Amino acid sequence: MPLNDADTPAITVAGVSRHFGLIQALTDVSLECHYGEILAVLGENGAGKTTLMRILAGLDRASSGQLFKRSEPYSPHSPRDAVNAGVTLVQQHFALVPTMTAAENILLFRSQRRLRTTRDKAASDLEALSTRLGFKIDVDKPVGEMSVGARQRLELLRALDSDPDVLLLDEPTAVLTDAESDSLLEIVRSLAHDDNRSIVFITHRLREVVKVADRVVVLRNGKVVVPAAPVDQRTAAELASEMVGSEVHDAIRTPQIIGKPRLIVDSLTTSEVGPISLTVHEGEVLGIAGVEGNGQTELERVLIGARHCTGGRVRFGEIDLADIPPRRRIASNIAYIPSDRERTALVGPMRCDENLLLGRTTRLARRHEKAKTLMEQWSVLGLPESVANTLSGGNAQKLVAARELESHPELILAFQPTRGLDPGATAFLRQVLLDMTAFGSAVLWVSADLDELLAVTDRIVVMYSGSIAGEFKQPFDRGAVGLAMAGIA
Amino acid sequence: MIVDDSNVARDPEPPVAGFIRRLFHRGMESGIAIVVGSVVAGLLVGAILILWAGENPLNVYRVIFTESLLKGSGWRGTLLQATPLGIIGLGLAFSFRAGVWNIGAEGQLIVGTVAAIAIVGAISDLPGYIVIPVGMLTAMVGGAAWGAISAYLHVKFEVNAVIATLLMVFIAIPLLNWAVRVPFKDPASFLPQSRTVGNGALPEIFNTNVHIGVLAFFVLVPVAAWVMNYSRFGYLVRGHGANRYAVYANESRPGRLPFVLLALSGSLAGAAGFIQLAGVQMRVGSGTAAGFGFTAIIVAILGRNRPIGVFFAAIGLSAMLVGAEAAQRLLGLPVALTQSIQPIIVMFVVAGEALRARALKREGEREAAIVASQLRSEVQT
Ligand SMILES: Nc1ncnc2c1ncn2[C@@H]1O[C@H](COP(=O)(O)OP(=O)(O)OP(=O)(O)O)[C@@H](O)[C@H]1O
Ligand SMILES: [Mg+2]
Repeated sequence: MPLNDADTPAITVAGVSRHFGLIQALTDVSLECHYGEILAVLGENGAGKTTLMRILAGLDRASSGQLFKRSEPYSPHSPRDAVNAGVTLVQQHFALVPTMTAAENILLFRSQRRLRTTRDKAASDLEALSTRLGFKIDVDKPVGEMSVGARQRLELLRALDSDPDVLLLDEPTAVLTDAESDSLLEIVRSLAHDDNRSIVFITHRLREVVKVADRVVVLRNGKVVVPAAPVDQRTAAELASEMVGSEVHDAIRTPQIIGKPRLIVDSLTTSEVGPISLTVHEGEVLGIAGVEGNGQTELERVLIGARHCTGGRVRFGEIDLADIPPRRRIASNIAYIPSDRERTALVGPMRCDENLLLGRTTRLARRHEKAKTLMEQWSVLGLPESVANTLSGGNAQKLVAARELESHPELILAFQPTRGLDPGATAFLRQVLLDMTAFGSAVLWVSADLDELLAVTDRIVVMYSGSIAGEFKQPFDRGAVGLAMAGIA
Repeated sequence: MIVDDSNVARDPEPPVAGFIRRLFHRGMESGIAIVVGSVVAGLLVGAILILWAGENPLNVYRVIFTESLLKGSGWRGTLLQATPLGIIGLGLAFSFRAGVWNIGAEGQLIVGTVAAIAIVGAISDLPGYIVIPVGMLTAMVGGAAWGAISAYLHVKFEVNAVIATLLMVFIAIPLLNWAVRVPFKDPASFLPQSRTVGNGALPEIFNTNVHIGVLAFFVLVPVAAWVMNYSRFGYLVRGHGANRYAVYANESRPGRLPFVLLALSGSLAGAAGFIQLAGVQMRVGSGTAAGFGFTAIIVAILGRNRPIGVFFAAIGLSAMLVGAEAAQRLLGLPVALTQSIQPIIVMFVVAGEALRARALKREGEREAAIVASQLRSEVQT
């Protein structure tokens, strides 16, 4: 168990810089995090938060500067070094192997000297740990079948498996609903305050910073603009303006003229979900609320023709969406922002300009100039020729949005469209989507963030355990929607 | 260790250094460094073997080099072997680049050749300008069809592509043996071999003793390079190799591209078979299954699945084959010994590749996500 040494910081970053070629990701960053403390790191997309965490976790190396662990020089060459020094990272994207069970995943990431521990041992360790933290986890279930919330908790358990005294969390709540993230944050708080660990926590949700963080650091363009200040006397709005250097105005839905039905999902069933019926009209934003894992992914896959339905139809004009190949969908001017960005929206090892061609008919020769304008328009931090893998999480999301929304689509299938975006980019994307409805686009907006849906949609449909658990119209009754999401209709 | 290289990188660098750095970077990126390193390492290990056999390695390598590339008969032989290897290798490069593991080119070549002789044997009296295109087309269709059967097994029944393609080789070989004994046997011959291609023989390029198939190979390389790098098809191939799910979600249905690629690489294997038949062998016999389809896998791997790379790998491997024979003839060094250098090089490439993958994996989260999705796809396919 970590020692309490009130004055010695658990981790110190002293003047760290990191550049990738000409891109300066971090410039002279200094900060420290003490034992028993939760330090929130805020910053726009591409501010360098993930880069800093990766350096601390031994996944990347600083170009200059120094790190200290309990005042001792600390220079991890690999994640293994970091783990041995008591530093672990929960990464921005899931790093679990979906086909393996929870216990196998834990085993996979254990260091060599502990490799001989059996799966049963890993399973019982895992169970003990989760019980102590106050939640249940099915250790023998393949990760791919777990809900996103459960996966995120498992990521946390995996990071805790080596009993680190410094825990780095890179946007652990981005994919969670409020209720799920509240319970995760409760665990995080107890890990810091009761177990006396030092926790660095990245998020774009300011509410969470106010809720759990003891101190907050704000990064902008790779520099520290607000050095670790106590959180108590801050409000979310202040933090937001410090992040972007100006005030953020959230897009709010104003009533629109709703036209004819555009997308009709008619008593759709698959082997796992249904029946689902819903309609999105011209100029309308229909929100789908619900904890992830309640059939949204199935619905998503049916809508893009990747999964066959056992009954019902999905109609867009004369077309049955469940039945057409992707290129036809795109040619019919349907935009699709997928929930699994890395897997379905981007080809990571390819260049940004090539990624912008995916599914489009733009000539290859024109990709560069085209990418340049689009990326500027969406302020994607990166060059047309940079490889999509090297974009920060939020910038990758912007790239996808830029591609999908460019042609002024008639129907927009947006699954967690603002996931990983900073408040400024979130406001921008929301505004773009809402503006499009003014010209008749129909939007299906799936989100885990209820506040977002309440702000931007005309109607909300709640999905619970594979079917529709309720439909709500403006003005929304937040409590009622929340109850429906929890399955209490 | 924390290295302060922030100043170093900002220093204006002399143009030559910049050029070398970019070249090095490109090399690392495309993995050419691994290939070059592996060839050097393979030659070093080969040198030890040669020393052990009591010869001077430098002398042996000099003989291999001069006999295969400088002497007239040598480079002719080198080109003649490089042509089928390279043409098959080009098809495989597309397939491999997309992550579709066609290792059954040998079978596709055999079936293409058998199909070609079935037609050509019957029309061999017609003028060459009819027989040759017809034969070529038949061979390509035959190879493509054989590839398509594997593709069907792979796509429809989710049989692993490696197994589906290899399996068809072991069906093609007995098919060949039967074809040259029963239906297409030359009645005038006692040997199990077909009739000759007659007027289907490929013409020579200006009395060089080299048939025009070689020219076809030389033309095909830049075409393939263009397709791979600048065409929509090449873009999809590269995209499929890097993240097939993104292609399936935005471009074409799952399985479509693997199907096309197996048929395409099959048709090129068939074409190579016909060129070998009409340019060198003149008849189909049991020896038609000469292993070109398997050696071409090495050509594609050494060529990093890039058409230009395939070109050099085909010439290089072919030169080693020709040179090895010369070394045996002139120095009495067994062919088996000099030819063992080639698999050694491949082993170095594979090892280097694994090391590189590990280094990449260490690079972290984004890569981890990719590795995870690859594992996922491997389990699924
Ligand atoms: N391997 C790399 N090569 C080139 N540039 C990189 C690489 N890794 C990161 N960058 C760049 O460094 C900058 C900082 O990226 P980082 O991922 O740290 O941002 P972030 O603060 O985590 O943003 P987000 O909120 O979007 O996750 C970005 O502009 C990114 O493009
Ligand atoms: Mg990040």
